[in-house]
Amino acid sequence: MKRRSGSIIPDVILYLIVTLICIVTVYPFIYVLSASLSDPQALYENRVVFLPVAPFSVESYRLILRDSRIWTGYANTLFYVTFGTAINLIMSILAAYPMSRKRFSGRKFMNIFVSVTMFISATGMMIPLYLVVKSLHLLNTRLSILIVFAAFPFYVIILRSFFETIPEELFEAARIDGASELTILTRIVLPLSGAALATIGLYYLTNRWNGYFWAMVFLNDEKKFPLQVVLRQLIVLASMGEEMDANIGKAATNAEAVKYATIVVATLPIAVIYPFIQKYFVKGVTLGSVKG
Amino acid sequence: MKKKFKLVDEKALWLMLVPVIAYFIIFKYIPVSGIIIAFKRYSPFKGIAASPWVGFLYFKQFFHSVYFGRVLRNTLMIGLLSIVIAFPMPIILALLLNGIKNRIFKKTAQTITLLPYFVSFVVIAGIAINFLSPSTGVINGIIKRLGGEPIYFMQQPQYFWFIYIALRIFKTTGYTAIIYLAALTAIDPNLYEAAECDGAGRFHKLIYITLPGILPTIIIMFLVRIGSLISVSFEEVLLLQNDVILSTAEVISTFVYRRGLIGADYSYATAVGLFETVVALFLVIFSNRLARRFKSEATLW
Repeated sequence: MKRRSGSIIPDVILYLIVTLICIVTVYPFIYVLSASLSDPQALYENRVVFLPVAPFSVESYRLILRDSRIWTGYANTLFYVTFGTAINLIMSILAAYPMSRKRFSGRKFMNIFVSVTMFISATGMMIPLYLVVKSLHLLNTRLSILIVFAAFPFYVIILRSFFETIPEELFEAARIDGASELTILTRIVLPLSGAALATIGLYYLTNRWNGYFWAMVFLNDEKKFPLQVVLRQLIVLASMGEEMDANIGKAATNAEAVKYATIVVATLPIAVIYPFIQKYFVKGVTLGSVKG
Repeated sequence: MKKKFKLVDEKALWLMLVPVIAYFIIFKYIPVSGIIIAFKRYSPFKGIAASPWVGFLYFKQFFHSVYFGRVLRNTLMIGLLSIVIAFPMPIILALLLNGIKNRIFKKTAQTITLLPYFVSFVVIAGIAINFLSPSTGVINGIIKRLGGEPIYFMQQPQYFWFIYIALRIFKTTGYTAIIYLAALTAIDPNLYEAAECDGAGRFHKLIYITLPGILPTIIIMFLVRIGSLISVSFEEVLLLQNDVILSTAEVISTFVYRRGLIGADYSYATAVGLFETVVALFLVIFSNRLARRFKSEATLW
C-alpha cells in the first residue's frame, strides 16, 4: 500500500524519540564502562562524559578481581541461585500439579490455602518471619536462604493455571492405562510445560540473583554473603559514606574507578545473557494475565 | 461399569503436597500467627506465649509519635507521585514502539529498554549514588562545567522522592511496556484499515482506536497500582537511604525494618507492620472490587 503523503515527518520524529529513549537507557551503563577504563585522574576531574578518557587503565579491574569478596560473592550466588531455583521449581510443581487436577478432593482447599498467603503484606510479615527463622536456629545458615522462600504463591498459581490448560481427558486416559500420578506428572505434564516452567523458573532465578534484603538480614558471616550483599557494601554503602565527607581527597580517586569496575564485573554476565532469555519474560507477562 | 481404579489417586496427590503444606505452615502461617506479638510486650527470653498482653499500647505509641505522620506522608507521597509520574511512562513507550514499522529497529529498541529490568536494584542504586555524587558524579560534573555549584543530591531531603521515582521509571518502564504492547497487538488490524479508508490520520487512529483498545488494560493496571499504593518496596528504598534524609526517605516498611530488625523493638515494629497490612488489605479489596465491577461492565473485554 502506498503511504499517504506527509506522514514521513511524524515517522522521523517517532524514530528520533525512541532512539533518544534508548540512549538515555544505555547511557548509564556506557558511562560506567567508560569510567572503569579511564584514567582515574580524569574521573576525579569530571572529564569522563561518554567515552573512556586516555590513558586507559585496567588497574581498577586488576584490583577488583583480586578482591576475594567478589569471588566469594559470586560463588555463593551461584550456589543460592542453582539450588534455590531448583527447590523453587520442585515445590511449585508439587503444589501446582495436584491443584490442577479437577477431580482431586483437596483442590479447593489447596487453592485457598495457597492464595490467602498472598494477602499478607511483606512489611507485616517482616518481623514475625524473622522471629520464626530465628527460633528455628536458621539464622546465619545457607539453608535459610534456600528454604525460607522455597515457593512464591503467585508463581504457584500461575503454574497451576498453566497445568489446567492440559485437557483432563489426557490424565484420565493415562490413569486408565495404569499410570501412577507421578508418571503422569513426569511423563505427560512436565514435557508439555517446558515454556511455562522456563518462564517461572527464570522469574525465580532473577529473584534469587537480585535479592539482597533477606540475605543481609539472615546472614552475618561474610563468607556466606551472596553477590548483591557484597555489592551493597562495595558500591552503595561505600559511596554514601564518602559523600558525607564533602570533598574526598585524591587518594579516593582510584577507589572511584574500582567501584565502576565492580559494577561492570557484577553486571556483565546478565547484560550478555538477557537478550537471549528475554522472550520468556515476554511470555511470562501473558502467562500472568491468564490467572484469575 | 464400575471402575476398580480411580481416576485420581488421592493418596499420591496428598503425598506430593506434604512438603508444600509443611512449607506454607512453617514459613507463612506460623509467621502470620506471630503477628499477635503486636498486642504483647514480647520478650525473646519469655517466648510469645509467656509475654504479657498490652492491648493496643504499641499502636497508640506509634499513632502518637512524630514518626506516624512522617512515614505515612512519605509512603503515600511516593505512591501517589509514582502513579502520576511513573504510571504513564510504559504506556507512552508502548505506543511509541507500536508506531515503529521497522521490525529490526523495534526489536532492538525493545531489547535495549528491557536492560535495566535485568540489572539488580543494588547496582542501579549504586550507579545512581555515584552519578549524583557532588565530587566525582557526572551530573554534578555537568553542573560544574556550566558554572553552577555542585548539588548534594543524596543529602538533601527534597530530592529523595524524585530520585526514587526516576530510578523506578528507569528500571521498570521497559518491562511494563511489554504488557501494553501485548494489549496493542490484540487490537483488530481491520479497525485501522477501515479507519484509513474513512480518511483517518495517525492522530485520529490513536485517539479512536488504539487508546480505547488498550483502555481496559490501562484501567486494570491502574487499579493494581492503587492496590499496592502503600506497599512501597523496602528493598529498593532502603538502598537509597541515609541518616540525613530520613525525614523524606523513611517509609512504613523501612521504619519497620529499622525499629524491628535493627532496634530489636519487635512488638512495636510488628504493630506498625500490622497497621500497614490492614491498610494495604483494604486498598487491595477496594481495587479488586472496582476491577471486578469494571470487568463485568466491559463485556467486550
